[in-house]
Amino acid sequence: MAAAVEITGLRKVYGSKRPVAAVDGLDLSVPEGGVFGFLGPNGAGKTTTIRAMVGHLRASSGSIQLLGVDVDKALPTIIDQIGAFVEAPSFFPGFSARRNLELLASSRGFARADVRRALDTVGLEERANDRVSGYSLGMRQRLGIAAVLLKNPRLLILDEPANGLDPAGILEMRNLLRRLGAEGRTIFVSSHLLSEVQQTCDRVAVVVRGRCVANGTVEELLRGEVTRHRIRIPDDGDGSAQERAVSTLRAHGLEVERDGHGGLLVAVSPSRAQDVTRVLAEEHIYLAELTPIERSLEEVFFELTGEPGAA
Amino acid sequence: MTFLALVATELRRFELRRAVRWMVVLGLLIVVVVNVVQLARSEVSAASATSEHIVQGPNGPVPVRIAHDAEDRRVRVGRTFEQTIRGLGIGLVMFGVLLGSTFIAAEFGASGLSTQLIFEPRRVRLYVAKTLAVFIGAAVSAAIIIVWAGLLQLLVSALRGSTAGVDAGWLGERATDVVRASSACGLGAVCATAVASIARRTVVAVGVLYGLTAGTGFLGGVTWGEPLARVSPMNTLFGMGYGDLNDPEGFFGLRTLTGAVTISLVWVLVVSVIGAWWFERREIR
Repeated sequence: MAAAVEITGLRKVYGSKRPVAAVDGLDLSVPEGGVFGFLGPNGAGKTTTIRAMVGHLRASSGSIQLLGVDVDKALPTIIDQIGAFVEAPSFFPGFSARRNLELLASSRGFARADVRRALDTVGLEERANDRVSGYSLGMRQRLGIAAVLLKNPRLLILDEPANGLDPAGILEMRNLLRRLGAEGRTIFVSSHLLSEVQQTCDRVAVVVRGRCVANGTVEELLRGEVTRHRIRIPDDGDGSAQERAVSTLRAHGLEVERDGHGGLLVAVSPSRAQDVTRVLAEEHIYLAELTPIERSLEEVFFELTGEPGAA
Repeated sequence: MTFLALVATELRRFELRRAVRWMVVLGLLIVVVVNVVQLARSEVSAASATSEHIVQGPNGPVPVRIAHDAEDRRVRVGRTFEQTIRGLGIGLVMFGVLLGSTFIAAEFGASGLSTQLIFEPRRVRLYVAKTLAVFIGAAVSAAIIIVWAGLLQLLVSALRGSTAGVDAGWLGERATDVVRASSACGLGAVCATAVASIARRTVVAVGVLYGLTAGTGFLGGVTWGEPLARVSPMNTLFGMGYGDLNDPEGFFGLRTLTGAVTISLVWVLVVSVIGAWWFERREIR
């Protein structure tokens, strides 16, 4: 599959006396089509990378190719195929949403019908004549998406698009991104909302301190070794069966803790899960449930980034 | 997409800005106030005036009536409008500085540039389009104010003054004056755009150029600084806006309009190249 985004050895250093590398040798390949999540903690270099991708800053070294074209040399040749916003979408607050979009559209020769279509797509048609200064953060985000959609782009680069949206807005955004991705476009989304990314994205990359530490499909990232199982013991009335199960498992060297919902969490890999059933059966304790606990993207993220809360 | 479409878009953006509209409206209102005062002061006729004085005669004080030359305070657009344009020419350069500064600095402030660059990433092209739009927008704004002043003066002259001298030849000469003074305003705005693209803030750009005006005045007052004051961009732009450079004391020795225009254009070109270079290189947030 052709790469929609190909970043090689990207490095951006700020300051000369005490240089700080915001991006430090980032390598990233994003295949064409689908929704790609770009994850990382604050200060990981996500926004700097996006700025470099759309030409808002020059990288210290490395190269970026979008849709097969070197950004440094020929971004203007493909700009009509790229829609983007970086951080909060920026518009003239004194102008209405429609006027802002019409000015952008006229600079590239797009029709007013394109503006109406874009506003309609993001559900802003009714408030299109209001000044942007009166818009909520969520409405500005939607206007940002409308500006992106004006060009009917092949590649969308969105920096935190769900920022400021209410739950209904997040759901709309999720559906919109999925639909756009399903149309064959490439959606490159940076986000902090890991559950959203898990539900929306086909592939993800995790960037830490300016470097890519993981890149693959969501399934690939979650496929790590299962290390815990949840077991449930039939209720015997006085809870003694569960107590006996805990002491039995601990006696066999297994780590056990209560899950707070009437079950037990046992630290054991799938290959040793049978040991749990065997040792309990020997004590005439029989399981009602034995479930491997799969990791969430959040857990994977915290493991990779070393952030507090790592599982 | 053609470059002209980009210029047209920038011009529309310039014209739509509330700051621009308010400044033009303020200019028009000031002109109205000045003309109302002129209307009130304008004498209907130029009849001779006399005054009575008491003088000491051989037989004591006697009253004497002295006839004065008539004080003609009528508004005569045919004679006064040329002077009005000269005065406005200097004020409009300052006005252009405000317009040019606020236009591009506002885009940095609102970060509208970030979105614009997604649509036109060729920054030098965008800068040149903005500069042209600022020149045209400021010059047209200035022309509107001058023409408004002329129309009101014509009205006041017709009501309580004289419209003598207003003919096709006069109109042609004043049209030339309007183009000159408006262009000076436009060039002032372009200079301010360049400074604001570096400073990113309106107040800094205005401070630099208004400060340069004060600095020019200071330099012109000392022997060693006079040559510098003469070629200062604000001096040459003011000279261009004023138009009459026959007085060697005025404008620190600028002697010809062609010279003032030439030096102004050189300055505008130099600061614009620096502004474009800076704009092209800087990180946009």
